Amino acid sequence: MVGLWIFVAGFGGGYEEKVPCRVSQFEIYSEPDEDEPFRVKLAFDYRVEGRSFKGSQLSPGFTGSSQFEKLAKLRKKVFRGEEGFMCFVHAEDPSDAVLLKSESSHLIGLLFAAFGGGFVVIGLGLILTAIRKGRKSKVRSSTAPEEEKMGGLLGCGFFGVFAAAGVAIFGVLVVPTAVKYMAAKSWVETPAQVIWSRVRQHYSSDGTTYRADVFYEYQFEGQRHRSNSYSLLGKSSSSGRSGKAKIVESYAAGTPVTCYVNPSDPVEALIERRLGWWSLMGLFPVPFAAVGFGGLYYTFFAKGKKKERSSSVAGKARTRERVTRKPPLSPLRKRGIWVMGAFVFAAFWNGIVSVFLWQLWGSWKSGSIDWFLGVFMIPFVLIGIGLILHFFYRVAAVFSPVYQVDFDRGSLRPGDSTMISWQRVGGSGSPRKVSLRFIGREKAEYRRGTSTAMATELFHEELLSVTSDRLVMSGGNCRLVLPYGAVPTFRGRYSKLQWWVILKVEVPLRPDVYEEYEVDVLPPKEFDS
Amino acid sequence: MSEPLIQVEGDGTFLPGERVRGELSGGSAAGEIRLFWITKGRGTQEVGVEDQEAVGAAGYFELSLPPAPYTTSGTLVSIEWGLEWLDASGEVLSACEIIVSPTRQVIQLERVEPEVGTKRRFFRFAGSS
Repeated sequence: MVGLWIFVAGFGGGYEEKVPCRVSQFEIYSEPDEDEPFRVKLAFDYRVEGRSFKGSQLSPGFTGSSQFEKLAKLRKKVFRGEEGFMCFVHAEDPSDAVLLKSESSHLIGLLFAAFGGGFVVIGLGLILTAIRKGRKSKVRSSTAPEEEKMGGLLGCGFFGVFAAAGVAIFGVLVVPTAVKYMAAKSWVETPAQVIWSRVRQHYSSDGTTYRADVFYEYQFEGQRHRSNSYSLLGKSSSSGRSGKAKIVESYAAGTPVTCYVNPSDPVEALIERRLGWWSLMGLFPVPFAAVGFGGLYYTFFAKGKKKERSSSVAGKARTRERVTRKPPLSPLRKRGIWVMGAFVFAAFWNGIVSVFLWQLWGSWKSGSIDWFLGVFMIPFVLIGIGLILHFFYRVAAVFSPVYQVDFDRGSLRPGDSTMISWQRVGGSGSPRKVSLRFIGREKAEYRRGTSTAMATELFHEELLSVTSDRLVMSGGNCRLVLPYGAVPTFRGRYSKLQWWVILKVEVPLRPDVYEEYEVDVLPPKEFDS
Repeated sequence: MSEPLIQVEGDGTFLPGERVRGELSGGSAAGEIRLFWITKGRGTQEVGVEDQEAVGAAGYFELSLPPAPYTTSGTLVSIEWGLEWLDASGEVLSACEIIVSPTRQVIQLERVEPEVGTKRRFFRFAGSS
């Protein structure tokens, strides 16, 4: 709504009638102590319905600008000799006119509206899901669940917001800066002199940020120009006052400096044309885009592939009888994946948290610590520390003992039995206890808002073997007899009834070794049709 | 005119792999009868149509049950079996539930509390059990 309001307001607050005008004065002067130091003395004439009027207003509500270059470009455009420069007259009062309408607010408004629109889609998706849940589907045997469609809509809205944010940051922040950086490499080195310099402060709900504002004058091709563009990052500000104060000190009034001038448009100049550490800002949209596009890919493509795999019932899969069962991933590979996952997640989380900690550090250094941000960050920092500890835990788990478990038969019918053997094949540490259990487990996946949740419950548990004997712990076997009343394995997409043999090895000062091996339970032979 | 009705032979309980026979009455046009299971409980609902047969406005049908799944009631997952008679536009004319199980009763999956020994520890001190 705010975005749409800005978009509509951008149409000019009544300045709708466009008429030709003649600008007689456009003088830029500075008030160095003001937050928006650059002012304009403006005079233009225009005619409405045969009557002449004089105007002096640049744009609705304009008092000053923080960017000299912006005004200098406008002045250049006005005095380029273009006949028929247009101004905008108020619909109700022809004596009130402006030279410019703030057009950029249209784009900002649309961006706001698009961002908010993503959340609206999520909200609508949730409401529709709730409504559909309330209504019972008339055809129960329909194999296309409505929740999947709603899930797609929710996923689209949720991940779409992230993807849009990533693209917007990339398009608005990264691309223009990169283009200017490349262009500035060929700008002409020119002597200049500082007129004044100040540290500008910007107050917001997130705290105070600072910017070095250096106003300087230079000559290019016989023409005198002025600018306060210091670096490629324009008027962006950041925490930490002392760094900006140092810049301002080194550019005191009257100091000769070197600036870089755009030869094709000499009103454009820079003092610092390197990016330095700020080039890392180019990576800022990456996590947004990765989460957004990754989520959209999963919602529309990966999920679609998963859909093609239908529910399987052990009774129908009579060709899957196997002699031995192994876990789907080797223990070492699985542990390696855990280490990588723990590292990536800890780095991602702590990377984001560190941006705010850096800001906090800056405010502390400048003597005005932002207490609210400090207290707010405590839980996030604690989670970050937990994730780092979790990473080290996963690294420790890599060196835990490695076992291989073999079954005589991987598929069993009620009353069948199978020998299970275990053998230690690597890793370090002295186990204290090795146990094998046979469990039956229900598993349900369900949607909770935009995410998928999972719940499990046991319906059968049986201890097959437990030993603390050093010799037997390194290798042994036991027998599994499947109970007569065992339900066949059921593997739906969201609901599962499965049977597992669990190997647990307790190792002092290490995480437990915990491996699961699935056993396919088939219905009794007499029910085979 | 009477309401469309599915009448299943027997008491509505079946062994896995059996054939489900019955009679349809009261219909007004040709359609289809479906034999399906449906999941209930915490998980997102899913359906499997195991057999189906084109039928007229009335008459007999015979459908085959697979060896599994069974009619089951668990803490998180339940599976039910049913028959649905649909007209050509896909509207349900009539439906009924059946039980498919080796005992001809719903299989109850009672919740089992995991034993302490089953739980996994993230860190174990030298003296802890």
